[in-house]
Amino acid sequence: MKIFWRIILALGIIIALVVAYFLVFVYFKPHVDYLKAEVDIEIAGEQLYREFVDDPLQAAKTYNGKVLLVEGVVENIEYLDDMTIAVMIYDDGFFGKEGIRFTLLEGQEKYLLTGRLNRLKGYCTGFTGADVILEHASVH
Amino acid sequence: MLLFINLKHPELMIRIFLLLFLIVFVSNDLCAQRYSTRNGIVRVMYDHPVAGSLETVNRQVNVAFDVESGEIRMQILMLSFRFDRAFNQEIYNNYFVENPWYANARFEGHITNIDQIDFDKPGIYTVEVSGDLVVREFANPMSTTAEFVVNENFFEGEALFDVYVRDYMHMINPTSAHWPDYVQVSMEVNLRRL
Repeated sequence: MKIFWRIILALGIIIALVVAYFLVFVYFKPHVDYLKAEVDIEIAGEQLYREFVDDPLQAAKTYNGKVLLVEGVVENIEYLDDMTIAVMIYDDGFFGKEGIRFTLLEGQEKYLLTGRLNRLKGYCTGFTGADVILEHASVH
Repeated sequence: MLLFINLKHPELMIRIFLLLFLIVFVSNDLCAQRYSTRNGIVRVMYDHPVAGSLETVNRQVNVAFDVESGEIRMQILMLSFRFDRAFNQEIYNNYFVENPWYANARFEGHITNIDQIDFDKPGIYTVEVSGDLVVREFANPMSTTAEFVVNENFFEGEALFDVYVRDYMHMINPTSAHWPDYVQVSMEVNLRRL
């Protein structure tokens, strides 16, 4: 009988450890730190934009969900509520100036050089038909 | 060449000027009828049988509105939805990264009672919106009531409506308790003249 309870106790401890592991390292794990995230693809801004315009599906397969390091001229910075968006412009379309829009991580705008070449790292969420969107972006 | 025409055919020159004047002003007027935003906000809220209440928000929604026709077009990047928990975010993102043909959702529709809005008079109007919502390449008709605010130089819009999950996920077993029947969607847009 003693052995039976020991087995039950051991199983209980194992289950508790598995549940604790799941909660700590899976369910409640922290968000990806995009400031420190490794770059998947390095690319020029204009090339990235043209690839999405020319073949949106192929570009989505290649770039969506990837951390990109994009080099290009930041023409404009927009402030919307608590969001700061850096814009590289490559075309003039239905929505006005179109290109790549980077939603910056907090405090990154102070490193931007407007009107000059910048290297911005961010998570690519896709192409709206007007702009390529990169989020959690930082200046490198 | 213009100088030559001017000297030889003054009537023709006047006609060309008139034509150019019309082209410039008519096209300006047409552009002025379009309003848009690149940062519309969509919130999706639902009660999950296992995970409880969840909310996700997307602040990168493109919306264009044509004052003349009442036409509304919306583009939503699925990967731009943000979740509180990294676990939910990862599962969600992985799905749309592995299925890039579902990367965008879109809505194409109209304000059906556009004639009841006086765009020259600031105020709050209740409008009827109907059209097709396309998610995961499944298109379904939808209609809702929205609040439309006319301001001096811009418009605001707010809507709250339900989306039935099984309309867009046909493979779900109808008896499955793991999926909610519907999700509640709220929209906020601030439309500026193009």
